[in-house]
Amino acid sequence: MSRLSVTQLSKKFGTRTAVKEISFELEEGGCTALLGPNGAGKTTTLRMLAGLLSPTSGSVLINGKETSEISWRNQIGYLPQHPSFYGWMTGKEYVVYAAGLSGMTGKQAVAEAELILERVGLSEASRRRISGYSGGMKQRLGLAQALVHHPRLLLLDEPVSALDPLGRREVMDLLQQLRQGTTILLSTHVLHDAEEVCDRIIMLRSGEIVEHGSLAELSAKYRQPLLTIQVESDPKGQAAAWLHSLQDRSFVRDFELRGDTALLTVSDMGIAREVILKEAGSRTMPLLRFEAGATSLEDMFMKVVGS
Amino acid sequence: MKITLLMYRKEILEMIRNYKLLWIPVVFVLLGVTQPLTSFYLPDLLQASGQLPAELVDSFPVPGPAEVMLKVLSQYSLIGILLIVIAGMNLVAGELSGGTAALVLVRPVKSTQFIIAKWAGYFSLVVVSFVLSYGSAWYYTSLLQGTVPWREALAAGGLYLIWFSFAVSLTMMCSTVLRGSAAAVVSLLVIGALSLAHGLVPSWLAWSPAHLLTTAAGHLAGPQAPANPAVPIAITLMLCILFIAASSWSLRRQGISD
Repeated sequence: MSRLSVTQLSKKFGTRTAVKEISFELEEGGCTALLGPNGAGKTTTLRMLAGLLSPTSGSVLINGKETSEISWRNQIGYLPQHPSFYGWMTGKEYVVYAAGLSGMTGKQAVAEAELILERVGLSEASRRRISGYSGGMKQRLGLAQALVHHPRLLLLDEPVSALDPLGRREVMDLLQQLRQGTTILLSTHVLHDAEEVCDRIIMLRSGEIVEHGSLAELSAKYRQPLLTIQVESDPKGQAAAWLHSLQDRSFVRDFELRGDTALLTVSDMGIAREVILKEAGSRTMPLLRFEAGATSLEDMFMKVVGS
Repeated sequence: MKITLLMYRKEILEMIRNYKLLWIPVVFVLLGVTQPLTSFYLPDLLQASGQLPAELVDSFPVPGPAEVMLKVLSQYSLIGILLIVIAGMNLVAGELSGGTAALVLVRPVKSTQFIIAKWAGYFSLVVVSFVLSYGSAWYYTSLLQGTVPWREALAAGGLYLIWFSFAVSLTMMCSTVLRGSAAAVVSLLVIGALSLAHGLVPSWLAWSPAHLLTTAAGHLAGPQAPANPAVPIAITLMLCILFIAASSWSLRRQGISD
């Protein structure tokens, strides 16, 4: 049985439709990334799932039950993009408060709070008032309050955006550990992170789902052979001219020139490699880099979203 | 119930830590105590200023205890209400616009529990402030001007407390539906209009909450007890419940921002 099924969910704000009848299902366990450009409707969708916003139409069912019941809210952990806390409370007081509101008794709430604060790396700072926290600390606190009651479904809106590389690494590791028992839906712009920790992707654009599937499926569908050719900049401009000329070859599907580097999406890697290396050798082009690889998730994102 | 208590405790802790539980009672006490003090020392003050001739000062009427307490009550209905509404305008609106309400309402917390905890927290502040202030005023009046019979004083005070609960409920409802400053303006306008209308045509509005004020004054002033205020009390309490229910309904319907 699926953990979460969303059917024809839509949200209108006056005349503007932010989310246009989207439907998807999330299986238990595993991590799904909600990708999309700014204004695609990711945050609105997450807030509807969390129960903060009521949908204009459509339904959200968790294990078959309507989510308008209050009892299932304990199964959900939500982290907004810019979490706000009571500045006059200490971090620990807040997490204990959150645990209490989720139904835990006094001692249990304190114990669980200490555990989760340790896990997100805030045990030292938890004794200080939240008004003195940095942005990264607030985001970690947000993660702590989303996890303290051991939810089965985690809804995270840009969970790593405010963190430095070290913090990012810690949170990604934490998410990897959580994947076993928890269903995670996270929205992000950082496609590399989505690739790393998620196994399914849902892409939104202007309130509609434009692409969805597992990473493997999407790779097979969109990944294309990509040649990266970088030349030394020579005063006569011969190398640059040669790069330009590559554009019109028959095997080149897509061409992009960035300074001294050309990115060629080709239809046949074998032919392309042979032809280009031969030319480079015979014309003694000052090759700096020749890389035969594949288009990344980011390229797919740009293509699907930009079209 | 447990959750409501938890949120109520958080409200009290917040008022302690941001010193609201200190300065509002202090201002209320000052409001109450200045009346008996200035009434008592007014002749001396005037004499010290040397402006008025001695005979005029001597013939100055010395206010009796009931008169002083009436003045105290009128201060409450003016400055006291102003303070309550302005200090309470961000009761719910502050949490909604600040985004802190989101992380609370995403948990298994009913909007009604949230609203009741907020109301109880703020009304506790009002009760503490009023009791301290009214008690101090009564004490100083009994020292300086004479004792007002405590039964009457208690009746008048009780009626004013019910009036305050009306103001608190109204302010909270406006705070849930509107932004902070708009909530203050609307609340004050409604209370002002109610008081004004009652002042102009008391017979028509004998059932309204504003009638509580005149009844309270009547307890202190007249030798005989005024008419039974059961109807205005009942109406006021019903209105309070209505406002609380309306706040809860509005909160549930709103999109909570974070």
